Amino acid sequence: MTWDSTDTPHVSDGVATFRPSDGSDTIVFDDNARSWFRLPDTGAAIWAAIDGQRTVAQLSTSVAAAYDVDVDTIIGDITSMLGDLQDLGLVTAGPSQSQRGRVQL
Amino acid sequence: MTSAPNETFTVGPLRIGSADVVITTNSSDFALAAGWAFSDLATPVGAPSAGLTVAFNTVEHTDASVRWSVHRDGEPCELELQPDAVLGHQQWELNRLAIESEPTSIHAAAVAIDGRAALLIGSSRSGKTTLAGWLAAHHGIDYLSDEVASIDTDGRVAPFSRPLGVRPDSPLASTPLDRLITTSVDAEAAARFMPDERLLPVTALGGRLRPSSTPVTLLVFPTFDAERTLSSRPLDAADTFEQIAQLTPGLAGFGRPVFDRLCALVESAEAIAVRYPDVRQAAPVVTAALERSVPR
Repeated sequence: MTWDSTDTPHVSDGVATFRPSDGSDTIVFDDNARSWFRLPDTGAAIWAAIDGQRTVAQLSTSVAAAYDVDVDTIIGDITSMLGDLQDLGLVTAGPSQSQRGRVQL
Repeated sequence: MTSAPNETFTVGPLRIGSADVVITTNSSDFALAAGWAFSDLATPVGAPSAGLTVAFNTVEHTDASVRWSVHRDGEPCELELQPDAVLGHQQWELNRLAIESEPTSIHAAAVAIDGRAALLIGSSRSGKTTLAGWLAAHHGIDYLSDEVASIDTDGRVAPFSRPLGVRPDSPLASTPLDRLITTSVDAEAAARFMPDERLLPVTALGGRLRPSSTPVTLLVFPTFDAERTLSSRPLDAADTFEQIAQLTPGLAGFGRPVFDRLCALVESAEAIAVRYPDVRQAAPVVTAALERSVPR
C-alpha cells in the first residue's frame, strides 16, 4: 500500500514497544512473529508518534518539528518507513479522518 | 569397577528448578561419576518435595553397537551414546529441564555477592564459565548457575548449581583438576567419562553455592580474547537487549511474557562488556562492578 497523508497508521495488535529510560534505541516486539526490531533515532521518533489518532500528515508535522526540518522534506521518508513497517506487519492503516467521520455519522 | 548384573544404582535426588530428579543406572562407574559431577545439585536433606519428580534411566548395554541409552520418565532421549558422551548428555538433559521450568532462561552463568547477582552472558567459548568458576574459587563470590540463568517475575536469578564444563586449556583445569582427579575415586571415574571437557562441581574448586534466588543488578558480557588488552565499557539498554535477546531461546518460543521480563531486567541492571586476555584480569573488574551495583 502507498500511504496517503490522510491515512492513520495504527500499531498492529500484538506489537509491544520497549523505550529504554536511558534514551537508547527503541525496541519493537511482534508477538505474532515472535521477532523484534531496533529503531534508532528518527525511526524511534516516527514510531513514538504512531498513536492511532494522528494522520500521516499530522505525524509528519510532529516529527518535523521535533527535528526542526521542513515537513515536505521528511514526509517521503516517513511514508517510506510506514511502508516498511506495514510490510513487517507492525502497523496497519486505519481509516482516514474523513472516512472515520463517515462511519461515525 | 564393574557392575553386577541387574543391579541398579541411584544418583539423586537432584533439585532442578521445580523438579526433583533421580537418575538410575546399571553402571556403578557412571553412578560414581554422575554422583560426583552433580553433587552440588543434590536436594538439601530435609528439603520439602519440589512437587514434580523426573526420573532418568541411563543404561550401559552389553551390545557394543548400542552402548548407552538415556530415557526420561520412560521416554527415550538418546539410544546410541558413546561412553565419552553419556555424562555430557546427561548434563544436557538437566539443562533442558532447567530451561523447561522457566521460560525466561538466558544462556548465561550467574554469581552473587551479598544480595546482588551478576549474569555473565555469552555464547559458547566467550569465557563465562571460566570467569564464573574463577570468581567462585578465588574471589569468594557465590556461585548460582552456569549455562542456564532462569529469571523469575521479580528479576531474580534462580540457583542451578550444575558443574562447570571445563576444557583442558582452561585456567580452572590446572592444579585443582589434577588434585581432584588424584584424590577422589569419584572424580577419577568422572574423568573417564569426560576425556575432553570435564564437569567440575564448584564446591570441589573451593567455591561456595548460593542456594536462593537473587536479584540481578549487573549484566556482564565477557569476551575472552588472548590478543587484546583488558577493556571494560558500559552498554546502553538497547545494546544490552539486543545481545541478551539473542541468547534467550524462550523469546521466540513464549513471546510477550519473556519480552516483558527481558525489558524489565535490562532496565533494572547496569550492563558492561568486558574483553580480556586472562581471567585473572577480568575477575577483579567484575567483582568491583558487582560490589558497586545497586538494584534500580
